[in-house]
Amino acid sequence: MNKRLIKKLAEDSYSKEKLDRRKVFAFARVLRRRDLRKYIRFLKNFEDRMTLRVTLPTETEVGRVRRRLSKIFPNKKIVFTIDPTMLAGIRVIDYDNVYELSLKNSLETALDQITSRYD
Amino acid sequence: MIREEDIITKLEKGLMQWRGEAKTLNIGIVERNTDGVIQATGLSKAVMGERVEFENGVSGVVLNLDEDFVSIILLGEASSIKEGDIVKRTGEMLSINASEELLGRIVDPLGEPLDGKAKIKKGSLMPLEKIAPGVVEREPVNTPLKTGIKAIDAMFPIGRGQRELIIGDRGLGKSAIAIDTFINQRNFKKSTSKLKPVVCIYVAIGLKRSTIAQIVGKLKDNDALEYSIVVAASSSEPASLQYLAPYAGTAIAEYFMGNGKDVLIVHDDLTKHAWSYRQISLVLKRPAGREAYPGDIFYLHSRLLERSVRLNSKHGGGSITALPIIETQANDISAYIPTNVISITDGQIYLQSDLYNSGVRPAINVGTSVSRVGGSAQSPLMKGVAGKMKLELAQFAELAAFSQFGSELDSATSAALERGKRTQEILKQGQYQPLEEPYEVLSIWAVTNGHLDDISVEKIGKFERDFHQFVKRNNPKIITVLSSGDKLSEATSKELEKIITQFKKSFK
Ligand SMILES: Nc1ncnc2c1ncn2[C@@H]1O[C@H](COP(=O)(O)OP(=O)(O)O)[C@@H](O)[C@H]1O
Ligand SMILES: [Mg+2]
Repeated sequence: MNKRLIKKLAEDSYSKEKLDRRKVFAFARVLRRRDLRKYIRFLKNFEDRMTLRVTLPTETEVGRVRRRLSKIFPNKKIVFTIDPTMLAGIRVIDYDNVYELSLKNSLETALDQITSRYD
Repeated sequence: MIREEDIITKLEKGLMQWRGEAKTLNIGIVERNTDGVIQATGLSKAVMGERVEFENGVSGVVLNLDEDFVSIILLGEASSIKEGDIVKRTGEMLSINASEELLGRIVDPLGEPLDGKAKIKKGSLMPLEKIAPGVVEREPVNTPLKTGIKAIDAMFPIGRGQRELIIGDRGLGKSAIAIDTFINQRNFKKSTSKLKPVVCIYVAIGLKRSTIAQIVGKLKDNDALEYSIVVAASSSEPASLQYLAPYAGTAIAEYFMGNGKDVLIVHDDLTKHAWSYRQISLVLKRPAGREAYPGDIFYLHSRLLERSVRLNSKHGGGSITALPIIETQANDISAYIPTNVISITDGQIYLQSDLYNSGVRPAINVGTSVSRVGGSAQSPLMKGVAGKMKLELAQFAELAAFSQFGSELDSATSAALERGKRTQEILKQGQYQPLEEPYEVLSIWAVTNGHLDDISVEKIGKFERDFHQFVKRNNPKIITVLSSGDKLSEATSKELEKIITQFKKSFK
């Protein structure tokens, strides 16, 4: 099957911005193995595009961050990860864009500058 | 010594800033890695020719931006990258480090030395992909790029900033023309030279390693390596490196041109370059067109050769002359890649197998070869002496075919035939023996003025060698006069007549 068609199927697998299980099963049943792989790949890509991945150093701020981000990205699913090594700050991955504001990062930049100066 | 308070001030400064500056990154995810050709999703802000970096520090370069994915060619170990790996933009174009230190060196398209010597340290980062200079920066071609090959300098002169294609089947002397032209540039290093010296860059694409070693050896033996640079991606290197080679060579050429230098770049050969691109495109499953080449192959080569120009003095006056080489199959110049490159260049030197086999070397087909801009880049001397030769030779080819029917020939026809044979003979030239212009002129002047009409064809090679020696020994002054490149004066013509009459008395 044509790649464009498969992509169209993947698009059509959504009802109101949500992946529709019934449609997915229906499509998957009729697709050939090779095309199925492409179909899943497109679905995965759509899911990635619709998901916002957020990393925070602690649980405490999760609720507040979720409220604020869902205003900026009303249609995206927001997934949280906790990473204590960040020390402080936030990292947001919006599909292929990473926004990072972490203390660890700034510390590293500062240290880099110091070492390059005294090398 | 690092003082503690320094560290603390630095840290404080860093901490003060951190709230303000968020780091943003554009990333992608590897979907597939086929022999070092990567397809990744994401990277929506990447641009063509940009360097990207994988998690493990390996670099790649963006080759294509397709609708659903970005194609990347890997510049390191192919097996090191797998599906799901993250790749990030760097915001830099893929570049090569260029400096004067490159002269005499052999490097790969990433600038890694292949001659066992140290890596080039200081230098300017030159992008592999670059938009060609616009019309306002350019100047018409007006200075000769001398090959030292009589047939070319007389009939298909090449100018600095020109793009002249060398085309023909395998084993007809295409590379030989390029190498002899490199060797001939030694004449312009001399302080007495009126023309600027030329930096030579040999881009070897998909050639066997042993062939590359031979080319380097010949350049070295003829003292040409010191002003040359070899950029090599042999047939045993991955297609990606072969694909990058001509761009790397051109990037280095642009460094020298930017410093006001005249550069000569040879791409040996673009047929194999097209193959490497076809191979990469097959891996990417991009739609293929004629002869299974992807549709943008034409654009690829024109983008490359467009960068060979002559800059005007306001922009430093440097130039890049390109001699791309195309290898044909069974003399077929109507195949896809040959026709493409013919249409991009300013002329072509066409080598033909039947000429080669009948002993005409260099085996240049006078009828089909052309140089569209070179005429204005010939010295008045050469122009005056070689003027009618091309036409005469073309007529000779026709007459020669005609005379095979064995019909009676009138005396004018047989005289033209005899002259043609001698002209063809004197244009033969051995390998690694490029000639300085005064000597080229001596030979061409002698034949076009009928001084060889009474010499048998078999003796012409010896006649030429002895005549050059004779003039060099007995009349060095005339060589100096001819070196000026000025139009042949009445007096000089008379002097030449005297010299050749004298020489012929002693010649047996
Ligand atoms: N002017 C010449 N005189 C004699 N032999 C030549 C000349 N030019 C090339 N050859 C020989 O012809 C062969 C093929 O030359 P080469 O330059 O390698 O061909 P190509 O690059 O077209 O494949 C080589 O053996 C070379 O020595
Ligand atoms: Mg060759």
